[in-house]
Amino acid sequence: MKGFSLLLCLAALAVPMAQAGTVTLTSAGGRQFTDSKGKALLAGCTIRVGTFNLPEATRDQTLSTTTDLNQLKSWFKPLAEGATGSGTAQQVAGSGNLLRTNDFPAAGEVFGTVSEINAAYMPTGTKLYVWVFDASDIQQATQSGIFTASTWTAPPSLGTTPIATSAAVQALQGETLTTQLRLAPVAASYSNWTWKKFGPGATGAGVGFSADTDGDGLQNLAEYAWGLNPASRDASPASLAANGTGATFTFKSPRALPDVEVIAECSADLKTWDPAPSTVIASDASYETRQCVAPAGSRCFYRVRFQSVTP
Amino acid sequence: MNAFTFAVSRLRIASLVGVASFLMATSSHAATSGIVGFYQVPVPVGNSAWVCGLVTKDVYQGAAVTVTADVDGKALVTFDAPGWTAGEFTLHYAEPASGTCAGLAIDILSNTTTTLKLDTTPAAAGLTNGMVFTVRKHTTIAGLLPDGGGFLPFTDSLSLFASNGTQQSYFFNSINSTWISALGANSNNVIIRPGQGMVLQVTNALTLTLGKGEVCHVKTTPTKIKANASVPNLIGALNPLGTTTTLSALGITGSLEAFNDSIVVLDPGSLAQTGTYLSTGSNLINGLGQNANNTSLPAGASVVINVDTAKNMALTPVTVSP
Repeated sequence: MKGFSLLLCLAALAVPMAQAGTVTLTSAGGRQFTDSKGKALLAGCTIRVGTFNLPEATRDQTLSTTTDLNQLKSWFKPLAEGATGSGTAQQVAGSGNLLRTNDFPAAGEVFGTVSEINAAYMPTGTKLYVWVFDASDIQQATQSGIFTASTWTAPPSLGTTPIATSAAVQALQGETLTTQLRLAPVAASYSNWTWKKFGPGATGAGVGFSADTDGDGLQNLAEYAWGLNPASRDASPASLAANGTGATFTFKSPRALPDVEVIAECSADLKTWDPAPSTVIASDASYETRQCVAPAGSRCFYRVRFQSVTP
Repeated sequence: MNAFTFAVSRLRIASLVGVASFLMATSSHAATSGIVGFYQVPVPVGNSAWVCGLVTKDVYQGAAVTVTADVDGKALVTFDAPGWTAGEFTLHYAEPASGTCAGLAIDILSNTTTTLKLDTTPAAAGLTNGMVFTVRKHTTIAGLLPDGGGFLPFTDSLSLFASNGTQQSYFFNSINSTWISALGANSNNVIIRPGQGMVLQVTNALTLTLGKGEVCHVKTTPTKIKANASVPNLIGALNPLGTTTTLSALGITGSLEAFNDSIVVLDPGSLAQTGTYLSTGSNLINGLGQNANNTSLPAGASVVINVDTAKNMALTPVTVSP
């Protein structure tokens, strides 16, 4: 027991005194951050510097395959501790919270410095990542990218480490070109939809698949599939047109959402529901408009089923 | 009609498949939209009593933050940022999802961006903070039969009975596709309450399609309808299914005062009374005291309820499989 206490004391003595270090983020002599088509990011875009709480051996692999922004956020550990906005830089003129910035994204700029990095919080040598968004408000981002380099590490106490885009940068999300670090479009998924509609990392009952916070009778999964606003009452993009001899049921089906299926179902007794054959009567980049023709009979009922699926 | 004088390895693989299925089941989620549809009823020559088994769409559903009494005592129900426009609910009702008036359509007298003023008092309807309300537009004649429903213009009629028992008849004006009263007044927006019966008088037999207009939504929650004292109350279930049903399937047996309130079934065509039934509290009986629960009733037909004291009666909702 005494030995154990002694070990604890030694361990406590071994903890280094917190000392401050500095990281300077620079594109001097290196690449610019751009959107996925090579257009320079606008001033005001957010850059986050830090690491991700994942096993080091598989971290980069995990980051390169995880497109869920909320999941990424849950793993993210910003570079500097303490103050609000730690490790976050908005590329506006003047001084950020902990990251001084110049106008961005002019090539060759030193556009950020994070100082007051506590080594007890972010140990020296921790591999650093730069998480870039194409908007100042990350909730509104349509593109993002995660970049790292072997030389991007947390600084030694009282030391300074440059994070330069001139290094051999690896794009875990996005793309590395000779003169550019390109972001990638945010993947279409329910979770990323909640990021945009409810805020980064939002939790609670209102964010779930079955919530209907705006009371319009459409659950979140339906609002997502139909591209509606979960905070306002929307008209359903499904409608019935009946006449004396039959009926048609028209609904929208998303073309580019890999994690939800939208199927029309019909029933004559409200108990047995069968998939309703439908044909495309119109389409655009995002949606198909489909129509079902009611089978002959004295009654027919329709509904739309939304099924979350694993892409 | 006046005819309407009512009396009333493998194992391992299987295990793996099972585990996979479980994982998929736990990670997937399904939701369904509201149900829309149509159905048809055979309307015979002459007079017959029907009810519409469909409603309009839900325009809002949410929990009230507070329920208070306005200066005139009427219920003022406040919601948190419901996204309304002031004055938009002109033909609408609010339906509580719980409490003594669960399922009852309470008329909305007015609305602001966050409040509903209802045609009741909080105490009378048992309304309390946190109650969930659904807002819908009332079924109107034009909403139900926008194209006239096959009625012979200016001749065939749709009649409704007011809470005081008075009858009003409406006709289809094919010249401008409107519904009019006997005096020619536009009656498109005349309200047919949920579960309220209507008498159709037609010259030629017709197949009436319900669900052609905005009234095409299936209501899957319980409905209550107010039965007024000492007047014939024409009511029916909101059930668009089947061709025949039974008296007990209406679900009102328990709402009737035992051995006092009565149900009168009417003959389609003549509208003659075919039977009068009483409730024992748990069963319906005929005039001979025999169990009448399974008395056949055409699906979609309405019956007459006679009560001595006004009361809210619960109607059985339609069952929908998930």
